[in-house]
Amino acid sequence: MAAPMLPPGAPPLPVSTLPPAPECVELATRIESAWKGKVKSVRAMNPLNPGIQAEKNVFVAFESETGAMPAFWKWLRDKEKFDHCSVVVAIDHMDRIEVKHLLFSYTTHITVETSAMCDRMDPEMPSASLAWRGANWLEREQFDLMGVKFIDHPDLRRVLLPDDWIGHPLRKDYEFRQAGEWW
Amino acid sequence: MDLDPARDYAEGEGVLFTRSKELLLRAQNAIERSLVEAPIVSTYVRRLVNNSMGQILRVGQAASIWPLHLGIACCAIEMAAMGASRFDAERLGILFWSSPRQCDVLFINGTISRKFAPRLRMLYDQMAEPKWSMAVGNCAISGGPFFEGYNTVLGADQIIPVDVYVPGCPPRPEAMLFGLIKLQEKILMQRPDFLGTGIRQELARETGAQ
Amino acid sequence: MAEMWINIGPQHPSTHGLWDLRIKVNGEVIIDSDPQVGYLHRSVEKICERKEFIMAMPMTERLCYVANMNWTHLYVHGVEKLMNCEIPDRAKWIRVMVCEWNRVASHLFWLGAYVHDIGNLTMFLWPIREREYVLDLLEYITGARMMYNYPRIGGQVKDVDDKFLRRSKVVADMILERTVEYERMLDDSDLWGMRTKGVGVIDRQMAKNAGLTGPSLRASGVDYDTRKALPYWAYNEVDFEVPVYDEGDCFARYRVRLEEIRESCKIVKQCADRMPEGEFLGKAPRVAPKTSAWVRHEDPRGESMCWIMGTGGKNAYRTKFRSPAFVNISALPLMLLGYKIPDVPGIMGSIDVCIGEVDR
Repeated sequence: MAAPMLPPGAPPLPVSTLPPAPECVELATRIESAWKGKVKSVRAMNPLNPGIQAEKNVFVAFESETGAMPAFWKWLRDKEKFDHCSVVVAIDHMDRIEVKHLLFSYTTHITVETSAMCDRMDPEMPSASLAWRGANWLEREQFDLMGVKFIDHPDLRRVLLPDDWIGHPLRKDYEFRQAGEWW
Repeated sequence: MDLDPARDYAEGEGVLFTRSKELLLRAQNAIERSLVEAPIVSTYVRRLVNNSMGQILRVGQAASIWPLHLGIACCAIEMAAMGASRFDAERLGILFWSSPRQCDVLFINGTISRKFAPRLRMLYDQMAEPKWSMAVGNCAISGGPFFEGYNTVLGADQIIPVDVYVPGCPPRPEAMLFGLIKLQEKILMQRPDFLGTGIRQELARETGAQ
Repeated sequence: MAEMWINIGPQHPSTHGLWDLRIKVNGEVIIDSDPQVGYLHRSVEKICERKEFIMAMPMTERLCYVANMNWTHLYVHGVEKLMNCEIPDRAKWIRVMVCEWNRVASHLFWLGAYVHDIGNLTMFLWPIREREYVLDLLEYITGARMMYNYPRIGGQVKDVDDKFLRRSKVVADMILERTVEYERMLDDSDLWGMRTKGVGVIDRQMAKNAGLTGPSLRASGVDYDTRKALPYWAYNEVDFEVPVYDEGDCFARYRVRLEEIRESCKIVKQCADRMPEGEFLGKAPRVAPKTSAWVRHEDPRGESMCWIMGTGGKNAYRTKFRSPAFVNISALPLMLLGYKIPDVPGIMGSIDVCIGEVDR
């Protein structure tokens, strides 16, 4: 679960009282001890409702200091055996863009969610495709639709939209049909 | 493309046409010239030949429609089901063919995106006359459920002329077969065209007649 | 020798969808590849932000149009996770049953289209014939052949009755018998072996790193299935095996999917026997909190994920679908290197692409 933002008067968030799995807690402590100072916060998340789906999540927030992320990802891949990059999501909060990478381990079934914030005018972030090839196209898609540039990405170009498309459609200020278009 | 079918064109003229179309025009002009000696008899004979042989040609075209092997989106799955075990379309003469040059019908079965629109036009232009097209499914008729999308073309008829529209999301294979039967009726209703061999249809489409 | 780029697609009978596989060949040998997708990008994620949750569900149905039940239930499951809403037991078992039926239908369609590419036209008609029976069953409960619109937030819109359960068992038995015929037709055939064995090999480490999931990953030796690892609904109560092969070639992927058809039929029979009584639609809240949630599913093509963030109102702030076929296509260049042009339809078809979910 993401770092929640509560506007005034919003419904309360569901609070889970279930304890996180022991593997998650151990992984969180290992991350804290190895990456102290470079990571903003590490948390083993409480599973929300195991009746819906079993989950083991660890949330790692980098905020705006993304310099240590490539090394962190390589460490996760090599030392902690996280061999699968599940998904890359870019979210347009109106003042900044948040990019999350969800990484998965086939042996321990733990998901690590790394979250980083980028400036909305010129969003830049390190690329996880150097650690996992699977992140290559996922990051290209977020570049295409949201405009986030991934530094050191081997092949950053549009994947879903035509190459000469102007604009990044999934941003909140992108109009559906630009003025004058009828098709 | 304002070439006059009554005129005889020299070699090298009409460079917008392919070589085969030029040869076709010249053959047609030669046949007409050969019948021009006795004017009244030639018109009568020409019309007789055109109507009888042309009607046979129309029956042949309607009974063996070869669509292009193009599967765009969800409706293509129902089209594949239409061509397969239960709703066998091959008994109507339908044979899916991969090369656009040798196809009769273009089924547009899915949402057209702005990335694909130029390719669709290219495919339609590559098809040889006489050709027809059928818009299958709501997306091909008017954009369908995705009409709010930034990347959707609101209907195939923004890009190519469409002869038959089959609504549905997706239309059942029986509905698609009904659309094919309507297309066959349309082909049979068209003016027989033996001596023009398709050039007339294309010119009529350009000028808006027929 | 001449090096050149060849376009296979977007209109091509073997691509099964609108995508362009560009291969760079040196003579006949493939030395590089660059798939181009996006010819069917329908801006579903953007449309989902404007619509309420239940209005956006038909969009997800048209994402992977061969496995509709799996994708609609994935989306509804994600919304239920976001709202923290549990569903009744009967709804869980119904969901398992229809999702497994749709997995069978998807694999049968894949099998028919795949063998059609390789050249075996008889085997195109047989699986489609079986698939028609499965679609008849799903039409009996939902009313539609392909776009079912079956789940709602909190359960299902209609109940299944005993006739459906009895007919399911009959059809499942029939499909179990007919898969034996498919095996006899294909496994012993030398031609099939020459075209698929040893072709399109990807090894275990590269498959994991490249994000390949689903039957293609299990054909390369990784024993991972989301239904077993992170079970949801009633999957931890049904008994099924997960086929895993080691070779990593097209033949292994075909074998994995064939065995998955069998396992899904067994799951369906168990569900038909053990379906609990009770409600099929529970109460669900109207609004979702302003937080995010995700669910993982085992799609016929791989591991699909739905990541949703709510606004505190009736619609989503951001919906993201992880499509397995999208990442599988990105791993395709690794499987093509060194093989020849005639191998391309075989390799391209063996990763089971459904362009609707790739392009979203």
